[in-house]
Amino acid sequence: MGDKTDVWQGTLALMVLKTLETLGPLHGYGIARRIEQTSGRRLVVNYGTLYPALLKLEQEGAIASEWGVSENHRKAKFYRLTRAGRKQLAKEARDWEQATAILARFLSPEEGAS
Amino acid sequence: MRWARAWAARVEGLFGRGRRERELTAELESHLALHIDDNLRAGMTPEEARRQALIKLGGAEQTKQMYREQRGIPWLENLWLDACYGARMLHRAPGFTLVAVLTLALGIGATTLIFSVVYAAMLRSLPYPNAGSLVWIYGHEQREPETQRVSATEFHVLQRNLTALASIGAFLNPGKALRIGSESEWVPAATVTSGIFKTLGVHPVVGREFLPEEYRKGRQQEVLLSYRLWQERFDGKRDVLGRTVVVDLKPYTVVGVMPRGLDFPSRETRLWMPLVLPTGQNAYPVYVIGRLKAGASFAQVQAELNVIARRLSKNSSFPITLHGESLRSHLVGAFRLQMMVLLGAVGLLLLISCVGVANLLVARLSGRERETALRAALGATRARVLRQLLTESLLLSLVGGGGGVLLAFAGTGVLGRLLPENLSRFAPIRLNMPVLLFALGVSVISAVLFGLAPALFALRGDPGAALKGGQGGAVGTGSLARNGLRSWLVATEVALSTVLAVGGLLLFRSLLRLENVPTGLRTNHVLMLRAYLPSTKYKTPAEQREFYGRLLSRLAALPGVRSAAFDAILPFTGWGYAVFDIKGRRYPRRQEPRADLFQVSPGYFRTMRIPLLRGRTFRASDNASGRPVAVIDSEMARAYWPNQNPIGQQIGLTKWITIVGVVGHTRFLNLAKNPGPELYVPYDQMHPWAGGFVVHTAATPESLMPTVRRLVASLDPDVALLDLMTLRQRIAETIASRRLQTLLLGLFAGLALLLTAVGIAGVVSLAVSRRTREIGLRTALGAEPVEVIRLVLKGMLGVVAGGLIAGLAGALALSRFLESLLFGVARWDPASFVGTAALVLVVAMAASYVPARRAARVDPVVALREE
Repeated sequence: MGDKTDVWQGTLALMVLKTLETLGPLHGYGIARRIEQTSGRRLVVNYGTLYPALLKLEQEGAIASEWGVSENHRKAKFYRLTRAGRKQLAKEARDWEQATAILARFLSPEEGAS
Repeated sequence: MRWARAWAARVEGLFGRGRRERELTAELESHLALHIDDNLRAGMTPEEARRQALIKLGGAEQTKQMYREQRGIPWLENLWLDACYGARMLHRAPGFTLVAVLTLALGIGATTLIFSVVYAAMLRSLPYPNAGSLVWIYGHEQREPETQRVSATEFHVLQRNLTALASIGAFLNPGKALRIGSESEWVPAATVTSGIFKTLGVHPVVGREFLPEEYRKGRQQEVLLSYRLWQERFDGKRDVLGRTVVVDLKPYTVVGVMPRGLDFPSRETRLWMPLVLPTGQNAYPVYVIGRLKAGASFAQVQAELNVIARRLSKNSSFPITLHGESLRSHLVGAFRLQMMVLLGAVGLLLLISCVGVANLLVARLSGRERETALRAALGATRARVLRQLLTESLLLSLVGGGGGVLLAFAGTGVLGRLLPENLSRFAPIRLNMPVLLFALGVSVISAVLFGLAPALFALRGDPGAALKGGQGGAVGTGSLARNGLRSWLVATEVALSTVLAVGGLLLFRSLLRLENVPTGLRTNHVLMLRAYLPSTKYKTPAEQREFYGRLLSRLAALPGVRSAAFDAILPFTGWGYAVFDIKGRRYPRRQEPRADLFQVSPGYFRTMRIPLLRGRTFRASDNASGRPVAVIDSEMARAYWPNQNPIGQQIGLTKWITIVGVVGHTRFLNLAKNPGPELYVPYDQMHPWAGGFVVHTAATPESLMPTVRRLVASLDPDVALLDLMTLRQRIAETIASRRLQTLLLGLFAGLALLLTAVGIAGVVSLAVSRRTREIGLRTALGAEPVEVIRLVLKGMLGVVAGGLIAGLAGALALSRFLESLLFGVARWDPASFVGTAALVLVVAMAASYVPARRAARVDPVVALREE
């Protein structure tokens, strides 16, 4: 079906949820731009991969969508976080922090030497 | 729960595709517009702005495709696409599809049909609550393994001593003369002890069961009706309770109606009455059923039975053994093996049909080599192509399975009527849900069986070569191997059908042997009947004897009757035996001589054409006032008076009896088993057990039936006429199940050979079409058509011979499962094996000959110009 890895998909979902929490309802293009900017341009997002991820989140009920009008008067589909999405964000953020903390400890050279 | 919700959304995503697709396009357009706006603001030219936005999106079509895959369930949609494509491909090749579907329908239909019988008899639960804990208890006497009854005395002991049982009951299934209103009718009835209904767990749907005091001796005034009798004769009205019916000329009060469809002891049972068990000397045998206590096992019951049997044997003149088995295994009994053999046979037939279809598929896929190669070249993975080919197989086998279910449906009706009595109690044989699921499962498994090998083969070749190779890959590297595969498949078909044919022939020859086994009796032009005298009217032996004598003389005087005789127990319906002493000899206890006992009138030997070997047969003067006499058969003479003259010897039954004659031995009960010594006494000198008559007719015995019926009714309308049939009919009944099994196995073997012939013909015609050029060349160089045919046949002969040898070896190994079903034929019976080999060779050669002849007629000019 493609060669996206689970990690990438998982982190992308987390970034989407976090973006929506911070900025409120936003269209797909806005989410993509925001993720790119926040990552300090180190993460080059192929904007296309965002849409299946958005659909998946919507299917899971974490986000909802409706058509609206953008700031420069373009018709666009706006995504917003649902209550379930907020919960999922909290949980996944916690999991992520734990995972990175473990990995960080694992990878730090001082620990290994002592 | 999150995944469940997501899946629900994806399933929903399968529908309303158009709207969703438009929405996605709109969303991506809006995305691009927003991006282009930004780019324009950043100072790009419109063209550049659009180009950058598209690059960044990563291609609109790819994005859409990824999105679609997330939206629905891709493999399901692919499956649907594959199925549609497969359906189109099958539609485009109607000949192939028809043959394949018919082949599969035959295999799956036969398997489903036999499974429906097996399911009805062995898997479906008996119609009693918790039927698994019901125990059938029976006695075994060394002499007669078919004995299923326990003497009433033993039953009393069992009732008191079997601690592993929660309840136990005994019953008999006599016929009764039932009179409701003015008409009298003979109906099957059951007399039961108080424990039976409790043990079975069945209760009346109207009214009540018998009260404890109603089982007391001398009481017997109440009766329970079957649901059907209630509906037919009392219109299902509740006021039947308390009504009076006359059974055997005695009034009985109806106290209840048993549930609909209760088949205890048989489906035909119309009445249930209390059974009072006699004790002491005249304790006749009864049938016994028990129910296990919670937690008790069949082994426990058997252990207790063994102890009881040992104790009973001490006081008995012959060893007693007692056995318990589950009610189901008792009911299925000997048919288990027959059913397993049939199930095995249809399994083979199913395999053959799968192999046959695989063979067709190989040929077909070789024609589609370019298509699969093209798919591979366009980037389809092997797995993807394989899935597509298997979907096509599945489609084929589901259609075939549907046809099979239709065939099986037609078959159940026919088979239901042919089933022998013991099995028909499990009828109606239905195509119910479990059977249909079985058919579905078989279809799916078949699809994999016949679809996988050809599909894998189709994927083996190099796509490049196949694409270059032109027509049908005729010169492709795969084609040689493919022909090899087809040869293997045909050889497998030959081998499997050889196994079936050997089995069919073995059974067929057994049946022929059995039907022609000499019985020592006249079997043609013999009419049999049994007169049932109500004991309330014919109270004394003298009264009964008087009626028998009157009936006998009237029967003998009927026009078209050559002779008539009394025979208490009719041939091929039952038996009775006597334990006797021989004057001047002493036998240790339990080793006293025994013989089958016949109570007959003087004309019996002439009527049944039993030859007199020595002395004389009975005379009219051998009556109650005459000297007690007996006639023995040659077997008894040989057993007890070898090299002596038995005439004048005396044997002790209830009194001393003098032997006056020796007659021929007869096979009076069962074609398959040769009975032991036989002893005849005049029915005037020993009170007969029952009232049977045999009539030797000049015309066909059937034509006399109405006359006989009228005669008995005119003598006494209260006398019931039973078992009015010809001896031929009765003998045919005793081998009906064997005949049915032989018929089915023969049918399956025939179908197997037909399928194999189709397979062979297919392979030969393909081989011939591939060698058109060569054959044309040979003809052009002067080869005669005969030589061409020989050439083609020779190629096939090796394949057929290989399959045949493997099949014969397999049959030899498998025939031991048939051994106990054979009669007079060894399981390696040379005639059956040689016959099968000849049959298979003839079929194979005939199947190859047709395409070979076509090859011989090839016009060399046309053949050489081809390419």
